[in-house]
Amino acid sequence: MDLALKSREADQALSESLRLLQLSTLSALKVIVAAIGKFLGKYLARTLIAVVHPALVEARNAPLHSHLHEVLHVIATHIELRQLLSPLAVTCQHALHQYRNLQVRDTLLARS
Amino acid sequence: MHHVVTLLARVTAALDKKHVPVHHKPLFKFYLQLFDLRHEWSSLNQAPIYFEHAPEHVAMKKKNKVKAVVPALNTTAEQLTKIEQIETELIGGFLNMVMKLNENTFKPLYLVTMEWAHVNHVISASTSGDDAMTDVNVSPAQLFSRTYMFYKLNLALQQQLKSIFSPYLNHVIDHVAAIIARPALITTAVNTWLAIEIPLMNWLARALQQTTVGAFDKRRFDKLSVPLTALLDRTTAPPSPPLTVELYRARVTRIIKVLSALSLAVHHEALWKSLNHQLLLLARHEDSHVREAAVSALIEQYTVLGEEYLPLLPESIQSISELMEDSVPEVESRALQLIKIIEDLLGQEFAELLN
Repeated sequence: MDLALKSREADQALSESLRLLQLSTLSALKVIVAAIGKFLGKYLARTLIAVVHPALVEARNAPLHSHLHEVLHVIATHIELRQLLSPLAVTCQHALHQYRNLQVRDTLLARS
Repeated sequence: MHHVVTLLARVTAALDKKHVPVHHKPLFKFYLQLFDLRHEWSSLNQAPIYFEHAPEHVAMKKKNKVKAVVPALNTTAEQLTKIEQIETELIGGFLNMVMKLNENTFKPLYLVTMEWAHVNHVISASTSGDDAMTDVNVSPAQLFSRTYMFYKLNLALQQQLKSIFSPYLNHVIDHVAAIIARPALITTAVNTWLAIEIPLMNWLARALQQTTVGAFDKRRFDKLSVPLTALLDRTTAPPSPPLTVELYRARVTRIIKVLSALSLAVHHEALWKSLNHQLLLLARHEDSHVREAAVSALIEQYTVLGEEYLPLLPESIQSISELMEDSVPEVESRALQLIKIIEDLLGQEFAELLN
């Protein structure tokens, strides 16, 4: 087996294990939010920022997307709005910033 | 960004009606912030050559008000699809919130949205005769994006709220009339103007169709009918150079819908008379496309208003009989179609009237 093939296989294995880790984290998050959503106030901003991270959002993986949507649904329905407002504002700002960076990247890629 | 919008839409959907009076203002703030996404997105892309040379860009550059501006339509189709999807979800979430409000809580939000879209500034710029807005620091790209988003939102609100939303047309009628008469107030680029014209005309048609019959007075009728009929004249209406035949035909279809809805909304013979007169003048235009558009508009008027429009027939007979012998086959066939509709309404041959 040549080195290029070996390296490709290693990459694939790594990305699969990473995908599995992301899936299990999202599943855990879903259960945590559903069970103790009211006590997550302090961690909500960081949780939301993690959930909308491009690594998750841009992944071309159907199960991951479906898990992500379920987490968003649980957050929207299990946490009171008064608790969500401030983290949502932080996430909005963060996402806008990220969005700008991604658009700059896309534009540069399109031009190159 | 899509997921933040999804989350916001879901939070709005899950919002309990009894919590709405407390939380609707901060939620609305998020929505307003996100309504600017198109501008955020377009301002990141470099201006293509044609826009760099667009008059408003050069004028603004001279005043050192903007660094780089670009209309959103110049970027790739994939990006455009993405932003359209995000906006659709965003508007869906916003409508969800609006459905939980009452008239007293919704109206102030609408007025803030109008302010956000610089509606009043455009109106004052139109009355002072300026093409660019000198009193506020707003870039042409932002003005375009916000105006486009505003009318898209109006269309969605109209579809959702139906006749409840129609009276809101009164708040923006001056803006609508101003930008129809002088699109240069918003943009001089043809494609970007057409992007606004589509949701604007679709909203106008729906709002007028769903308004109470007779609720529209003469002043407001004239405000809209005059610039709308002027748009049917391909040779003088903006943009310059004139639209291609395909784009012009699409515009005519939209305008005809609005004109017939407007006629139905005023339901006043004296006002129909002035509109009919303008259409008959266009039916004698030297450009055959304009003549065809005028006949199509008359067909729609007779179809929508039926027998009530017949009192205006005597003054139209001369022009219609001329159109029957038009040198252009398309105009002639449209004229024959019009005659068929009139004959059906009258119950007698058109030739008998000529005699």
